[in-house]
Amino acid sequence: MHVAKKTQIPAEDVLRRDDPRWKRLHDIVFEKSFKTGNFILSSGVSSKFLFQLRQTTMLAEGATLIAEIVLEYMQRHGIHCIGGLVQGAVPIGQSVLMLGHAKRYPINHFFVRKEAKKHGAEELIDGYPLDDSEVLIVDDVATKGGSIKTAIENLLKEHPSCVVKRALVIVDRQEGAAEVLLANRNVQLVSLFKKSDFPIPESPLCLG
Amino acid sequence: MQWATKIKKLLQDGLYVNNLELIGDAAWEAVKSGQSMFPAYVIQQISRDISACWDDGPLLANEAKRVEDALRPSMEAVLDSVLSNASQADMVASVEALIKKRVDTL
Repeated sequence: MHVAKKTQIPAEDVLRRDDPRWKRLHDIVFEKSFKTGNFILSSGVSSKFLFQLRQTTMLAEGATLIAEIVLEYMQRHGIHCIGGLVQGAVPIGQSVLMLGHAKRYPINHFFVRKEAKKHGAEELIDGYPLDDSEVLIVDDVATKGGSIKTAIENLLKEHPSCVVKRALVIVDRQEGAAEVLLANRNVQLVSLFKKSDFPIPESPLCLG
Repeated sequence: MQWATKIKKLLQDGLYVNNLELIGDAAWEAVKSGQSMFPAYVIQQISRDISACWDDGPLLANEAKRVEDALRPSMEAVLDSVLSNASQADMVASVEALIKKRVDTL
């Protein structure tokens, strides 16, 4: 029996480093979103640095660059649907949605709740997932892959015919998300940047 | 009482977003099943409240420690009163002490 080899898509598949937009977006992320200090991450891990990506994804230039890059990625792979877990995925998906409309590349957009609302329709998904089609799951930052896994699982609960092969993040903290998603869900994680693209403070507390 | 034991164990891991969500889930299950609804509901609300605050931005380590130092002993005291079948008055007192601590941490 033929078993497909699981491999990570090279970063260049999203955006080549010699593309001027890579440098410009890197500068924005570094200036607006890269913080140093003593932080506790959602997973309980201590960290000497943090990517606060909403300061980039909700900045006009940052959002525009991200929209261009992600839309091009979706066009290359023929993907017409984008979504992810609240709240990190929302500004990314919304920017791509609007640019797709302007460029006449139709896109559906949705977001996924961590858990169903306890009142009302109790839906996990809001927006327009595209059934029977490939969906690009996005997030602003990946650490251990938990948010992306939750997004995929909750999407498939309500839309089991959606196909998830790829997830895209702005920054991969390189703490196991790519490996976890590949092993557990056969989803390939791609990123615009990796932790190693930034000057991470050296410290025994820095578990990244 | 199983829920209280489960949350006591989770508390040993400390207060951070993912763990607070697990604590909230365990407390909510207790509320739904009608077990010790008053303390379970208060713990659920406080856990969700803090995790929602912390999930929305960078969490500084000293802020996490400040809240944990203030709240964890009071949460444990409530759970102990549940596990020891404390009197209604003692139970209410422990829950009110937890609520007061939560207010003080704001």
